Order: sequence, then structure tokens, then C-alpha cells
Amino acid sequence: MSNHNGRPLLEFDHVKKHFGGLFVTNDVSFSIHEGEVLFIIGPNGAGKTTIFNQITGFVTPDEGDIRFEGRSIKGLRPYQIARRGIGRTFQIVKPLANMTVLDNVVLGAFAHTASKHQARKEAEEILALTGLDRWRDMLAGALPLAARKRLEIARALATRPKLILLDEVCAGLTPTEAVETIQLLKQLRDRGVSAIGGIEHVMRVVMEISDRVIVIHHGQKIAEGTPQEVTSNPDVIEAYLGSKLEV
Amino acid sequence: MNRIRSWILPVLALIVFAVIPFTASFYYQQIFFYIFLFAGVGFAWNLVGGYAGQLSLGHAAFFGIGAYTYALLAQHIGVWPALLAAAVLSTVSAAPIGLICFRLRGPYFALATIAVAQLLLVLATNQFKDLTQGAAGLLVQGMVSDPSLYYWVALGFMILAFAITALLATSKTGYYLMAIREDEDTAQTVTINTPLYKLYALLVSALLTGVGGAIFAANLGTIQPNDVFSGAISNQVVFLSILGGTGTLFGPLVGAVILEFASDWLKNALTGVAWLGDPNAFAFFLYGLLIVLVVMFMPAGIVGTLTKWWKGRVARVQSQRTTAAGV
Repeated sequence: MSNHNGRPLLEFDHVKKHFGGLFVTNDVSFSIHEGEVLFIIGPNGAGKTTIFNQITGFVTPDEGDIRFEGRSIKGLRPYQIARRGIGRTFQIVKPLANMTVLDNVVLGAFAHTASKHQARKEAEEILALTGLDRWRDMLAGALPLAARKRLEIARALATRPKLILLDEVCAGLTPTEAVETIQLLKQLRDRGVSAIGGIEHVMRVVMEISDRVIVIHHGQKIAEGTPQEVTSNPDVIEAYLGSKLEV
Repeated sequence: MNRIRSWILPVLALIVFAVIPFTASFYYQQIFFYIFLFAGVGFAWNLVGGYAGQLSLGHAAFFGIGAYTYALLAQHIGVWPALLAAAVLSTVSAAPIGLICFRLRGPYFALATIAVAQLLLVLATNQFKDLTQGAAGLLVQGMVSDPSLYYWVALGFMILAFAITALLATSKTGYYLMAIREDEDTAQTVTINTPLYKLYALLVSALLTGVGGAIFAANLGTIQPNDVFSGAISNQVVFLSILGGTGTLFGPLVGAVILEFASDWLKNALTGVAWLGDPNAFAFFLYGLLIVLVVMFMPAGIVGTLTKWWKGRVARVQSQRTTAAGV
């Protein structure tokens, strides 16, 4: 576990959100510190993506507050939140299909420079880091899935986020591809980027790189702790595998 | 080397354009006038409709506002101040139009832009009849002493429109507009203020379109609402951009050259073919057919298709090279 000095980077504070009569986020609180990797896990439909959407401003919470570096970001537009230093990827990848791989990343780098030369230089570095340089001039829409998922990370990374939200970056990947992504996530941490991942099925990723895990079920947080603690928690096992578990 | 090569075609084109008026008849000079004028307006439209991917089908609104501003003011405040006023007023009008239409996305945005242009057409024809003389038409003060000089005015306008759009399209702004076209949500996650950039593109586009409208009116010498606010104007600008290639730098010029020459050739070729009836109507039919074929079989347009093919080739060669190197 990393040292927790001072106040958290992100505080998700007693947030509630309902769509109609259904609470998709029911009084959920958690925080993440600088340099920490936190994973949110939970069964399909548990409300993980809605948490991501609330942090990044695509959905506004009904109650509670979300603070980043101590300041509330609730009610800000997505681009304003991105400017504060929160990057994200989408579960359903959204490559800018008619732009080249390089241009996708150059776009991200424009977040902190107006110089095309500078943006290009940084984008090339990130392409090398993410192993995408082989495809740099290909249109993003023509990439294989694994590369598209990595392109999402590369584009977000180019904006120089302090915190990056990774929505199921390993879903649908082969074990080899997942290992490559784990390597990449470790490098992110080395670069000082905090991360929140949300992954449900590829537990191997969660076990290997997360400092802390929270478990969401039916919109509620049912467990929090180290990966080992969480995976041996009976409530978690029940949520994942259904009740009356025969062991 | 690459830099020099990319300048060869534009420079050659400019030399040809500079020589034409000394060799061509007034008739052909006018054809080139319309090529330049509509290519310029096409460049302007391309910022919004091509790069930012917001399909405006109502650019006649800005074209007409520019035309009428010039027509009404030229004899009072002078020709060039009136042109400036046309630029300012069409830009200013784009702010409320953009704020309203950009609340809608996709086909609903397109419909809203048609509605705005149509509304202005009706207003100019009926409600503001005292000002515009309605369908009776309005005499327009010329910009230059000799009609053949409009060739140069339009050429200058096209170069200006190209320079401005090329400058924007190849910079950070162009990347931002393309990101908006591809996916607005993703654009926001990389810090882009999408409503602001869409409006910005529309303001620049409206400015240039308004100037184009003013030049159009001055060359024509007399205008009525149907000449400048009509769907025919909006459509022509969109069609030539699609034909040449939306979201490409040179697409609108390529489209304008082909459309103007094709429609001129058709009208001449069809005149006297008795069973066709009205040659103009038949030319319109073929024009429509061409659009359908392009949209169905070459949606990226001429320049877009060629660029895609070329980029695909380069990328293939590159990935083969790296694979061969054992990466």
C-alpha cells in the first residue's frame, strides 16, 4: 500500500443517484490518494460505470459531493473536469475512427500545448510507451480491439492526467494481451498517475496491481480492502456467485 | 522535400488561375467567378460541415444576410465598408443561430439549419418587403468598375477563405473540430469545450459565407430573396463539398470546378435535344443523380477517397517494414 499523506486526491462522498425508482449509486463513499491504484469491482449492472460517469461529469449525482484535490467538481461539465486532471477511457471504446492513431494521441497532448510540434513529440513518446507506434499512421477505426483499448489509455495519458479512470480496459482481451495491459498500468503508476480501474472478470489484473479494492453490488459498497481481503470476504463471494454458495 | 512537393500543385493552380482571364472569354471568366466564389463558400462550410461534422443545410442564411447587408448599405456607406458590414453582420447573426441549432445533434441539427434559412427567406420576401423590395428585387451597387474584374475579387476571396480554413484546420483547432465530429463525449474527456468550438467554427464560417454572399450580389447587380436565401444555395455549397470531399483541405475547390463545368457543359449539350424538354430541368436531374451516386459509392468524396487510399498504402508499407524488422 502507498503512503497516505494529507488529504485524498479524489473523494467520493456519500453519493446517491437514482434513475427512476432504481438507486444506481446508493450512498457510496470512497477516496483515492496520490499514487494509489484503486479498483472498483462488482457484477454486471452493479453501477461501476455510473460511478465513473459521475466522477467525469457525464452524470450528475443527486446527493453527496465529489471533490478533486479538495475542491468540489460536482456539476462541472466533462471538459472542465478533464481540465482539472481527470482522464478516462470508455468501456465501449470510442476511437476517433477517421483519425490516425498518432492524431488520436496528438489530440490529447493539445490539452496542455498549442504547439503542433510539441504535441506530436509527446504523442510519439506515448505511442512508444504504449506499444502503439507500429500502427501510428493507421486509421484508429482499423485497429484490432486490444490496440484500440490501449489507444484509449494513450489518448487519456497524453492529456497528462493526475488521475485516470480505466473502464474495463481488459475486458475482451486474451490473457497475453491482458498481461501487456497490466505492464502498461504499472508504468502509469511509475509515472505518478493515480488510477481507478473498474474491471469485473479479469481478476488477475485486479489482484496484481491494485493497492485497494472496493466492491459495488446493487449500487452499494459492500466491501473495501486489499485484494486478498476482498476476495475472501463472504459477502463478495455471494454477490459474485449468487446466494447459497456450496463450497 | 515533402514540404516543397505539397506546394507544387497549389502554386501551379494559382499560375493557371492568374493566366485564365487574359485568354478566356467573359463567359468563361464568369464560370470561373462562380467556381472561385462557391469554392470559397465551400471552404467556409467545410469548417462546420466537414471538419466539425455538423451538417449545416442552411448556409444560405449567412450568404443571404451578407448579400442583403451589402446590397442595402453599399450606396450609403461605400462599397468596402458595406462589405465589412456584411462580414460583421453575418458573423453576429451566427451567434444566436448557433446557440439555437447546436442544442440539437445529428439530423435534428441539419433540420434546424434548413428551418432558419427558410425562415429568413420568408421574412426577406414578405415581412421586410419595404427594405428588400421582396420578390421584385433590389439593385446592387457594383464593387469594381469593370465586370471582368470580379474574376479577381472572387479569386482573392477564395484564397482568403482557403488560407483561413487551412490555418485553422491544420492547427489545434482543426484537431478539436475533428474530435467533435468523431465523438463529442471523447472530445470532452480530452478537455475540449465542445459547444464553444462548434460555435467558433460556425462564426468563422458565417463570416466568410457572408462575404461570399456580398460578392455574389455585387456581381449579379440585382438580387431578390430567392437568389441568396434559397435551398439551392445551401445545397450547392454542401454538394460541392461532398463531391470534392468533406473535411479535406482542397475538396471544395475540386468539387466546385467539377460541378460548375459539368452543369455548364450539360446545359449546352442538352439544348436542342427536343425530347428532353427543358434542358435546365434535365441538368438538375443529372445533378441529383450524381449526388446520389457519390454519396452511395464515394462518401469520402474525390479528395477524401484518394487520401484514404494513399494513407492506407503508406501505413501498410510501414507496418510491413516494422514487422520485417522483427518488431
